[in-house]
Amino acid sequence: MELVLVAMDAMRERPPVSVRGEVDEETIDACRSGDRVALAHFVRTYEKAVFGFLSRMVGAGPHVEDLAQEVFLRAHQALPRFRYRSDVRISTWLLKIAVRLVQDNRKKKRPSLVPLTDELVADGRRGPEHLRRRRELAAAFERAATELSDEQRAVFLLAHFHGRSMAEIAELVGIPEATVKTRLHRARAKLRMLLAPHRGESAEETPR
Amino acid sequence: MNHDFDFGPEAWPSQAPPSDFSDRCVSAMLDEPTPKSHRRWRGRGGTFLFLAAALCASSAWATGHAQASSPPAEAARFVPSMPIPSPEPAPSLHGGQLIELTPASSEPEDEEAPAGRPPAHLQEPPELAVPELEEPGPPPPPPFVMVPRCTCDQDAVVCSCF
Repeated sequence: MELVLVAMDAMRERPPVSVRGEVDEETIDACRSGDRVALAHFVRTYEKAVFGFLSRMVGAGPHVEDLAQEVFLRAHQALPRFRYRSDVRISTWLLKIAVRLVQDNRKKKRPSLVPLTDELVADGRRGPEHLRRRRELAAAFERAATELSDEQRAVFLLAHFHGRSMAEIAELVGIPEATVKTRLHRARAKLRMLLAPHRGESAEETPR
Repeated sequence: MNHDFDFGPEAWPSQAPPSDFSDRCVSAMLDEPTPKSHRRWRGRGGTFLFLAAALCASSAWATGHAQASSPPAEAARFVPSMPIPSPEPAPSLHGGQLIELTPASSEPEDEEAPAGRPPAHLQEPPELAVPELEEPGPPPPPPFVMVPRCTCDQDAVVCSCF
């Protein structure tokens, strides 16, 4: 029962980056001129989304911090060529850089997913039983995610955890929109199948 | 975007950025050396340092290898500059043996010399030197000198000279 509640709570949460959470043009101009305060604001605005995508793609660990810093360094180097448009989300641009970076790293070496620690799944508002449930679900999700291909995982993460539309994902990953739909459908089907035992366990615990 | 998938973001927690990530990241963006920006050094400067260390190591190895392979200074001082004569007698030069007059090391120069114009060390004809080595018997005749012979008759006034 608690497992179902955790999932429902998570569904009600907003994605890490919303459309309203983007920096404005003035901040971008200040970043271009090397303003330290603006750059810090820029990094703080998007660091959670970048860390979230990278850690779920390549597994949690200290290497995620290196990759995230590389994403922001590449973005900073490309800022002079960046043309601000109100209809273009900077988070999408950063996620695109992150996708490319992960693809480049995959060519060199395929990192193994590191199991999440209690620190990552801890929730101080609930008790130890809730923590144990969350840990089990997170571990199951980690194992299930390893069954996805890199392409399926990227599409699934961008759609499910970053709230990107099919068109955005197609532009971001560089594939046709129909391919995005296919990959997303297969990724969800595989995860549903792999996580089904956990849903069954939670159903059995439901009081009658 | 969840549609028919009923697991939310909390079901798969992600790694949170450290509290000082933005400060270190901005320092790296502005190329400011900070004590905690070791990761950036490991990524960029680390490559440079590795290459520099490899270059120094290779040059040091090459220097040491050259010193180890060369003879010591005392030994090099007593290396004879002339070849040591062989105890066996020199082979006879009679019988029409060919004699190498030009050293072997001069062959590349011969190849580079223009056709029809032999190098300077080949301009002297070998026929002048070879007979001296092949015919050691009689010494060469002295050069011919004209000595006037005159016969004078006691009664004559005029002497005739040849």
